[in-house]
Amino acid sequence: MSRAPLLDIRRLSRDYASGGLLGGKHVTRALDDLSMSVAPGTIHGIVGESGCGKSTLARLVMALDRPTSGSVHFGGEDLFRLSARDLKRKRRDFQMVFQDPFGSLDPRQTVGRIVAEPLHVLEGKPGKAERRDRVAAMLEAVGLAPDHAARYPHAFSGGQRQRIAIARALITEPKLVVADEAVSALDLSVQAQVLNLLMDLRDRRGVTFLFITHNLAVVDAVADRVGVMYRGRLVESGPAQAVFARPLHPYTRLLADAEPDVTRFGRPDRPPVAVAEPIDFGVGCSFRNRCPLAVARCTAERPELRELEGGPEVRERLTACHRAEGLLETNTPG
Amino acid sequence: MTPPLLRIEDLAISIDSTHGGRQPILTDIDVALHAGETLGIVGESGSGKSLLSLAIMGLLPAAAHATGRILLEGRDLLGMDEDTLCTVRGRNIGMIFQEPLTALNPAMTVGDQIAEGLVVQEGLSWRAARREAVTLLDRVRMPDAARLSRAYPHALSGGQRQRVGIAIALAMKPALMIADEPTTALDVTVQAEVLDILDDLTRDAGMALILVSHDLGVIARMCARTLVLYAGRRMEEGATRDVLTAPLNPYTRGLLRAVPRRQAAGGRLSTIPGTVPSFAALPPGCCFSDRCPDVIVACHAGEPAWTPAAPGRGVRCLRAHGEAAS
Repeated sequence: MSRAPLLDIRRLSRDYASGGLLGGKHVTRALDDLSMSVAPGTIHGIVGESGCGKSTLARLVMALDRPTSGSVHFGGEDLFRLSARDLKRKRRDFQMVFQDPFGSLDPRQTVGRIVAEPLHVLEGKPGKAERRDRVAAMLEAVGLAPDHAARYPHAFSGGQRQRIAIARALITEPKLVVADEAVSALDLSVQAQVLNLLMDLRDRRGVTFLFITHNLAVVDAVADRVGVMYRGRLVESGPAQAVFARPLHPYTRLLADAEPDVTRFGRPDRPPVAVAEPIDFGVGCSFRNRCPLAVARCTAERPELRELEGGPEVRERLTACHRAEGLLETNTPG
Repeated sequence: MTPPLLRIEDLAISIDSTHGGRQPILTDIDVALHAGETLGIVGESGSGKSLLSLAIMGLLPAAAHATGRILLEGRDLLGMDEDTLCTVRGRNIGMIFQEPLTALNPAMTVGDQIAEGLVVQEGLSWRAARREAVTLLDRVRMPDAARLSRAYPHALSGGQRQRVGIAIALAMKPALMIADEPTTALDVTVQAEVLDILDDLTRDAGMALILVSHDLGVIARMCARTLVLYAGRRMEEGATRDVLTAPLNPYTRGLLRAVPRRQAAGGRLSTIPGTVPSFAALPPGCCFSDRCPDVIVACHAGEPAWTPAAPGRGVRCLRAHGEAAS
């Protein structure tokens, strides 16, 4: 990547303590030494299953939580070293869109008030007329009509509500929008409309998206780059198209094989997908109990993210697998 | 040919509206399903697909009014009193729900929840029923079934809970299983395993399956036949491969095009303009006419009739015959 990253995450870890009372204290590492960077004006997908730490990552990037160790640099500044006042000022530059368009909008507020809400917390809060103009412009930008501002959320469908949530996120003209399962609750015909909107906002306004989802097809359709997470760690990253066409980590391949496809009829020929419960091994590769390629080395030594030697198909790609070279040979180009 | 296990004839369901009067939801539903068959019901939110599965289970809310017939092994479920329905449910029809956490009782071990039906319906002793519960958990590939049968739902993962849900539905060896979005809340790898389990059950036990889903990939994976619903109407029905590779109805075509997939650089996904209309605000004529790319004047004049296109294949669209020929 030639441009300086907008978001630079360095060795980020987050532990949660649980238990107490009857059982002993237990520490769960939700995010484990994760490093990644996001270039401005791109859609960066994060894929993983429940419990992989993707929502913890979203909370940390939004500075809604503090890491156990590591840092998040946004536009060159370390978010967790800013004073409370500076952080508050910085918040206009990163906003979030949540999964549930029914739960994330206050039913007693008009759409205009909901969309304008982030402006109220800004320093140098714009005047009433300017707020109204900006809300109207933003509603148009997400494909709604300015006169929708006077209505209440219940008057809108799921897809329209998600547009309202996106308008609210964009009203402060943020550089980064974190979208956590933002289209997962939407119907197919509406989901495509919202995905197109995100691509338009990237292309026309240069908005950067951290797009978090469990749905590979959605990421494949819109993301420029993608990171695959497993048990709090990044196990593979690279250009989205290349990653899904030729996975360099067995977990990515497992995900791709498991995803139903409208062009695959009946039961797939593959052996049944093995779903072992993810186990916290402490040492070695945490995927090894589900991995068809695991060898002795995977038990002893934790694989770190690394580049592979090879041609253009591995350019700008990273994988955390000891056996990635073998995977590259056996993978047929998709 | 043997009579079908399930035969739905001319079913219509309306719901009391808050403004008085009744709002029609499902209209003109006809379904025939034989033992061992798998039928996928596809539709977006507001298509009436969940109401249809509740109707087959005899679980319609009090505000709903059904006309027509739902025949299960020749007996009309719509005319049955609650006591008779109770034995049909569970014994003849099992149901798997979308959200396994809310469908389970949080204050009862999962083994007892599976055993409960066996005690009440089959008159087994609790001891025997609990043993049977462990066997059922084994069948749905629950790891360490004996130990986990004594666990409470909160201690299980989403995939394990859904396996419990399937085990409960299986306990009575129902002839028909209705699964309403059974894997929507699950991760893809867990989903793949749950679908494999359901697939085994239809193959080995000859159980008929109705799978309700908005996910066309899941339908392609699981179901031999597919019925596409929109705004409470049948839009298209046929062998799944035919419906998904050579759709006759513009709505099915639109859905298939909207499935997210990578576009050429700078390209955009295909969409269906607008949103699913509410039942109170359907357009005149064909219910899809306000969003349809192939609409002609005649589409607004009246609701197109359901038209058989081939054996086992039908469509509701004025323009389908031209499309089928081309």
